[in-house]
Parts: sequence; C-alpha cells; structure tokens
Amino acid sequence: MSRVRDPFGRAVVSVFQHLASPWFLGVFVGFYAVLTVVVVIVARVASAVGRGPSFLAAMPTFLILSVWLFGMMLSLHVKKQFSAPRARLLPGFARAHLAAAGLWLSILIAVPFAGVAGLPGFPVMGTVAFFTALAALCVWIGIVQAVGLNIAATLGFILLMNRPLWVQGLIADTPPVVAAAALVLSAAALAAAARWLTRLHEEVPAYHREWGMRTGADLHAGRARAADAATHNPRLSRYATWLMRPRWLPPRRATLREPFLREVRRLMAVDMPRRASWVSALMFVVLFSVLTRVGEQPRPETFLPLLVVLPVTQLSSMWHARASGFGQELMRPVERSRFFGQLAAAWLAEMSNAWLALHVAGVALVLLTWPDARFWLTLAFPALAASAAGNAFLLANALYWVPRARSGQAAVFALVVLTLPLSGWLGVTFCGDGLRTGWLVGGLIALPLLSVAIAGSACRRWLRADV
Amino acid sequence: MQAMDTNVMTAAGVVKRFGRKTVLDGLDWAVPRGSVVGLLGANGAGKTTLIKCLLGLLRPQAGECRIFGETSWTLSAEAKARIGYVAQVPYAYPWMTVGQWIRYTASFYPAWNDALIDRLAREWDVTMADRIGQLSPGQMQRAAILLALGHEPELLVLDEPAASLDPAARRDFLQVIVELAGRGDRTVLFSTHITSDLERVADRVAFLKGGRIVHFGLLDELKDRMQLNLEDSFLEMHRHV
Repeated sequence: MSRVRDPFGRAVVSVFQHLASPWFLGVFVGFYAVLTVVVVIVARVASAVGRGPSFLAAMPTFLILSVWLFGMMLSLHVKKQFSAPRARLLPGFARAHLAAAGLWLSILIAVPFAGVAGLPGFPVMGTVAFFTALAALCVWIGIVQAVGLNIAATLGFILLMNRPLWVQGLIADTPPVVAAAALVLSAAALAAAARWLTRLHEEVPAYHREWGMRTGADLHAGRARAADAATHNPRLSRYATWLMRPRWLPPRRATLREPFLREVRRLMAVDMPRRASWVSALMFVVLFSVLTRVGEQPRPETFLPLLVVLPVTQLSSMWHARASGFGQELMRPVERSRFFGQLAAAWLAEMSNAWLALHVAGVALVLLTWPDARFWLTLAFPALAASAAGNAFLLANALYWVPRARSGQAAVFALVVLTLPLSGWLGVTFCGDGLRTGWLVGGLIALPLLSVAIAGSACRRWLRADV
Repeated sequence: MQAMDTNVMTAAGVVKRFGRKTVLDGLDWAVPRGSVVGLLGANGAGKTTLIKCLLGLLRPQAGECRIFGETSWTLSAEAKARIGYVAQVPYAYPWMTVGQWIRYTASFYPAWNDALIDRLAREWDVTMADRIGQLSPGQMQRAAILLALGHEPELLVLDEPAASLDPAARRDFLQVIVELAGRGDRTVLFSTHITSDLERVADRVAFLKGGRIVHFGLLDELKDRMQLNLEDSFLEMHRHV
C-alpha cells in the first residue's frame, strides 16, 4: 500500500486490504469471488444452450447474498474510515475515499448485471434497479448502524433469500419506467449517503456506533455504546438506563468470604448483559413468526443451525470484548485458575440460559403455529440433543479461538466457518420428513468427544496466557 | 519467614520476548521493602513489560519473578490482596458509575477502607455518580488510583500514573504517595517520564535500558555521582550507559 502514492489508489487498496484481512477472511473472499465468476459464466452458458430456467431460478438467492454480504462489508469499512478525525482534517480524504467506495460498489452492482441482466425473466432495467436499491440499503444500514434498522433489514434480507421466485417476479414484472424511477431514487440515496458521511462528526450519535462482532454481544457492548452516547446526550432512554444498570452488585461493605465461589462467579458475571439470553430468544421468536406469517414454515434443518450458533457467537464476542481488561481484573485477590474457572462458569451459565430460552421459544412456536406440530414434536428430543452437542462443540472452539483471534470479528468468523460443517450435519440428520438415526448417533458420540479434547486444550491455553 | 524478606519483589534472569523482539534480556533486580522506587526508561524500553512480568501478568520465557516470596505467575489470593496496581490505561466498565465501580472492586477484598476512599474522592473531586464512559482520561486515572488505594496495599505498583493528570491532580497524587510511603513498610514502584515527580517522592531510582536494569540505587547517590539533576542524569545515562 505504501507504494501507492495517489490518494484514490490508496483508498481503493485499503478496501481490498480490509476485505482480505485477517488471512482466513481473505481466503473466504477470494473463494467467493472465484465462485461468483464461475456462477456468472455458467448462468450465461446455461441460458445460451437452453438450460437456463432451472438454473436461473436459483440465481436471485445467490446474487442477493453476494450483494448483501459484500455491500455490508464495504459500507462498514467506509463508515469506519469516516468516523475518525482524519476524515475531516486530511485534505482530499473524503473525495478519494468516496470515489474508491463508489468504484467498489459499481463492481458489486456489475456482478448481477453481468450474471443475469438481459436473460429471460431478468430485464436489464429491472435487474440493475433491484440490485442498486439493495446496495443502497446495505450502505445506509452499514453507515447508520441503528439497532431497529438492523433488525428490520436482517428480517427483510432473510425473507428475500427465502423467496427467489417473488424476487424474480418483482424484477420481471416491474414496468421499465417504474424500474428507472427506482434506479434514480437508489442513486440519489447513495449520493445522500456520501453527503451524510462527509458531514459526520462526533456529536452525531451514529459516529460512535461501531459494528464488530461486539454487536452480537452487544447488549453488552450496547452498554458501552449507551455510555458513549450518554456523553453527548445526558438524557438517557429507559432502555439505555436499564441496559447500564448492573445485574448484581454486592451490598456496600460486603467483602468476599470463604467459601466464596458463588460470589466470585456472580462478580464475574457483573459485566455480562442483563438478560441477554431472553432478548436473543425474543429476537428468534420475531424472526420465526415473520417467516411463518409470510408462508415459510421453517424446518428443523433450517432453524437448528441458527439456534446452535446464536448463543455461542453472542457470548464469545462478549468474552473477547472483556479480554482487554483481564490484566487488571487478574490483580484482584483471586488466583488465576479460579479467575478463569469462575469466569468460564459464569459464561457457561449465561450460555445455558440463552440455549434454554431459545429452545423453549422454538418448541412453543412449533406447538402454537404449525399445523402438523404433533409430528414435528416427535423430533423434539433428537433435535434438542443435536443442538446441545452442536453448542458444546462451538463453545469449546470459542474458548480455544477467542484468545488467538486479533479481533472479536475474526473470532466469530472462525466460529461461523465451523458452523458450516455443523449445519451440514444437522441438515443431513433432519433432512426430509424424518430423522436419520445413524447420523444423529454418530454426531452425538463424536461431537462431545471432540468438544472435551478442544476445551481441555483451551483451558491449558488460558492458564498460560499473557494478559 | 517470607514476610520478613528484605525484598518485596525480585526478578532473576528474566527474559521476555514478543516474537523476535527481546524486551527483557536476562534482567536481575530486587526492590527493597519500604522503598519508593521510580522506574525510568526511554519509550519502548520495556517498563510496562517489566511491571507486568513482576506482577505475573506476563510469563517470562526464562527466569523468575517473585513477590512477597511467591512466584509471580502463581500468586495466591492473599498475596494479591496486599498489592495495588494501576495500569497505564485503566480498564473499567464504561456503563458503571464511579460509585458502582468502587463498590464492585471493594467486594473482592477482605478489607476496604471506605473512609479513606471517601476522603480522597472529596479531595480529588471524584464524583461517585459520574458514569465511567463519560470520564476524561485524567478523571479516569484519578478514579483508578483511588481504587488501588482502597485496600491499603503493602505494595503499590503504578504504570505511568501521572501521565494524564493535570498539575494540581499530580501534586495531590504525589502527596498521597508520600503519605503512603510514610506508613510503616509500604513499598511503591512507579514508572514515569516526569523526572520532577520522581525527584519529589522517590528514594530510589532504576534505569531500564537494553532489556536490563543498568542502574539501581539511591536517588541522592545518583545525583551526587553524576553531579547533575535527575533529568540530565537520565539523558546522560540514556546516551552513554
């Protein structure tokens, strides 16, 4: 990067470096870029030889995922660049970085254009308008980072992903004039985003909102954010006040007594979010309800991976966020082994709560909303066992990976990668209308064994860690 | 027997590397009980690393650090209850108020001097209702020092404690150090760049360079020997030792 002297060139390279760091994220991005090129070529070739329709039916899902994923990565990076003093102090910074972001965004929108525009069912104007609008939405979500907008947009994204035919219909049936108007509006939204970024300063609440996988923890980091926001706005909302109230504090003048294991554990948990587990469950219920309301009946192989990954990612990012203070926390009168032991116990207890809350919510929803609930409930115990084994596996990995990863985002990314084979196993085990017992039993034996081995290694690592 | 040791902290042959960079290179040192020691060194000399090794927060690749006769890496809870530590960048939960932070920290210790904390908080203008996320770096530093004093530690270790303090706050802080040092066998170790502060309170000075303590002795002896004030002595040693 140092060899690139032109500010625009440097800004373009900085986006590339952001996408390619840490290395495993770079590998993923590279793999996905190659995959995209292959898919785009195959779509064109398949259409040319008359085998397009079945292949093209799957294209909206793939293209929405691509634009969403990279659009979010890009906008989060740009937001980070502009929420720093240099954005306002360095001459030419804004112009160079906005031009670079515009270039990358154009490449992103060019992918669906090159892939499907002009093919049967994908008129050029409708295709470009739809994906430009999607990119504009990603940009605004990434730069504003408002909780409500994030949740609404995520739900919308899941709905779009699950309804490729509806998306294709929208693209195909929208009259060109309406599509052109949508395109102009989307371009205006992007221009407004650029203008908004150049005017961003410390007194704008969004300036301090930072995404990272801290957000997952972030009812936890939400407290930090609320505290940041309070600096500029002393009138706290009820929610922020609730968020920042400690869940437990010992009475004044109380000190630890022997035996004080329970008290240490409670003290370790003080930094954890209030009722994070129940809020996660609530979010899951909302998501599940929305999917059901629009006619999607989520199946175990669809929602089990979500149930498995949610509690662990939330809590591992919480652990990571707190790790920067371990050096000072360890100087309190608690031995190293007890400190980490009780912290892990507090963490486990919180995760168990989250797991329980999510599964109670899941079972309740099946009972209340599904017409063939009785049949699906015959799978309840195998599903609970599989989910517990999957969670244990991810938890052990989280314990192992969190101290190694340079950022919470990287740690959670490692977990997401591990979730893919796990989701595969859950999918195969519960695929179709029944249960594959062999796969279930195999997983229920292998996963706990692996978990114990990895957790043992993680414990040794923590006990020897520099803090 | 251990409590009767003359030295509160010792380091013997300590080597600490980060990747290929050797920060501490076979360092030997002993801090006598009841002394107020100023640790000097250029930027990047390894002062924080040395303090962290001494406290058992970093694990040396070779050698051993001991506090109160115990190996630093495996310090008992009892030994930790006798140590106060203020890091260069204090860590706290931004959503807590200062009062909650103090109450939270106090609950870890078998003994806590509420009266001392109340008095110091008044003198240092630390407001209990302030939220930590809203404190300036200087206010945060004051609150962190306050917390390190609440259990009246026998050994107080401060990593650049005065860096963020304004002159008035620094004067108050140094006054407390002098008071603390005057009470029995208490030991204070602090790293700093502000040599005038060090001259006001320290009775001994250690100079860290090249991963070793190249000078450790009484402050007055150093000044007599070099025939210079402390700042010039520091510069002289930095150039020539």
